[in-house]
Amino acid sequence: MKVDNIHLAGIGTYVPRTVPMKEAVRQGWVDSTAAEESGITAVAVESELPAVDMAVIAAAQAVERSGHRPEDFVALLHSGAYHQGPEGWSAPHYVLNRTLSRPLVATEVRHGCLSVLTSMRLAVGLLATTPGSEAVLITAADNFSTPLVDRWQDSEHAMYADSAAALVVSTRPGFARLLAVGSRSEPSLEEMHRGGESLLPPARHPDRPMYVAPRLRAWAERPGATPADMITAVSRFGDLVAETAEQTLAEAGVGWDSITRVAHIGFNEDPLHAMILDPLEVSAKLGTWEYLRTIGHASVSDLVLGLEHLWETGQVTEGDHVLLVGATEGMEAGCAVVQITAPPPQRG
Amino acid sequence: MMTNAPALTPEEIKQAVGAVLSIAPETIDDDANLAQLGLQSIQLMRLSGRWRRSGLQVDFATLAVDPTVRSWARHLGPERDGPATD
Repeated sequence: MKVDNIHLAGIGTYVPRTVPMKEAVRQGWVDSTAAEESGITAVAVESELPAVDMAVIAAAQAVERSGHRPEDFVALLHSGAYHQGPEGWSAPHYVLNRTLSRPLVATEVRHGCLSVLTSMRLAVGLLATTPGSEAVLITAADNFSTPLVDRWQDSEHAMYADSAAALVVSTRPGFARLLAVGSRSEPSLEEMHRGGESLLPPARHPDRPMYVAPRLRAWAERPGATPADMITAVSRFGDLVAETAEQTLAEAGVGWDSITRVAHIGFNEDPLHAMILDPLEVSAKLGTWEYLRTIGHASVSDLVLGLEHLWETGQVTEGDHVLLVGATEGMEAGCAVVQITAPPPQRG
Repeated sequence: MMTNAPALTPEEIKQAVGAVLSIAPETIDDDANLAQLGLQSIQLMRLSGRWRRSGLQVDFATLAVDPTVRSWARHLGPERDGPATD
C-alpha cells in the first residue's frame, strides 16, 4: 500500500550483551558444526530484564527522539513472537503504563517476525482515521531466557536473540518518510508450522522446549508428502518474498536502483540467502548481515535494529531509500520502503 | 563472466551430495532425484551456500527446480547457463 504524509519520527532499540558463538560451543549449547555453518558470531542474551521492560527502554528512546508529547499519541501497538508473561494479562498495557501513561488503546499485534511492519501498516490507518492524532507508538520485544525455549537449537534457520525495538510513526516529519508498506501471504503453507500438533486441546508442552524444527519435519513427513515438499515450499516462499518486494517498490514509486540498503531478518547465513537475499537478487553486502550476524535472530526487532544501525553509522543518509523485508509463519512476507530524511544523530 | 570462474564436475557434485547424505558418490545416478535420496531443504541451503562462497553463481531456487546431478552440472559446470530464469 502506498503511503503519503507518514513519517518515522523516532526509533529506539535495546540489545543486551552478546554471547560469543565460541562460548556457546564450549558450553555445549550448540554443536560446533552447526555453529560454524550458521555464520552467526554471537547471540544477544538478556538474563535479567523481561521482554516488556526491554520494550519500555526502547520506547523511551524512540519517544524522546521523536519530539512528540504523550498527548500526541493515539495508540500503542506491542508485539512479541513468544510469551511475555502469564496468560490473561496485557503486556501492551504494562508497556503503555511505563511509557506514555495515557488512556490509549494498547493492543498486541501478533504477527511473528512481521509484527513491526504490520504495526506500521495499522498505524498508518489509525492516523488516517483518527482526527487530531499525530503519532502511534510501536514496541516489540522478546526474551527467550526460559527452559522452555532452546534458542541455539530450536530452529535450523536461526538462533534466537533477546531484544527490543520501538518506532514512533507520525504525521510530522522525522528521520525517515514511509513510502509504502504491505505484505502477501501463501496460506496453503500454514500447515508447515502446525506440524501435526493438536488444535484441540490447543497444543501446549509445559514439560519440554518449543522445538519448531520437529514440527517442520513432521509436516515434511506427513501422510501423502513427497520428499521435495519442503524444498518446494522454500522456493515458493522465495517467490512470495520477491513478489512482495516488487509490489511494495512499485507502490512506493521506487526502483531497485534507488534502494541503497536492505534491512532484513536475522536468519543464519545460508537460510538468509535461500529465503530472502537470493529471491531478491540482493547481496549480503547490501543487507544487514554483517551487523545481524553479531546478534542473532532478534525475532520482532531485526528490521528496526538493522535500520537504526544503517542510519546511526551513516551507511544510509538523507535521500537514501531503505527496503525493509520481513516474514512470518503462515507463510507471509512483508516489505516497507522508507526514505531517510535526516542525518544521523550526533553522538554525545 | 569469464572462464577463470570456478566450476564443478558432476563427480565433484556427487562427492558433495554423497558427503551430505552419507552415501557413496558412485551410487548417485545423474538423473536421480536428490530429494528422493533424502536431501533435506536445510542441506540444500548449505550446499548452495558453500558453492556460492567458493565463487560459483548459484542459488537455492536454481538447484531446487530440478534437484538432479545432471541439472546441477549444467548450472555449476564450465559450460554453465547461470541462474535459472523463468
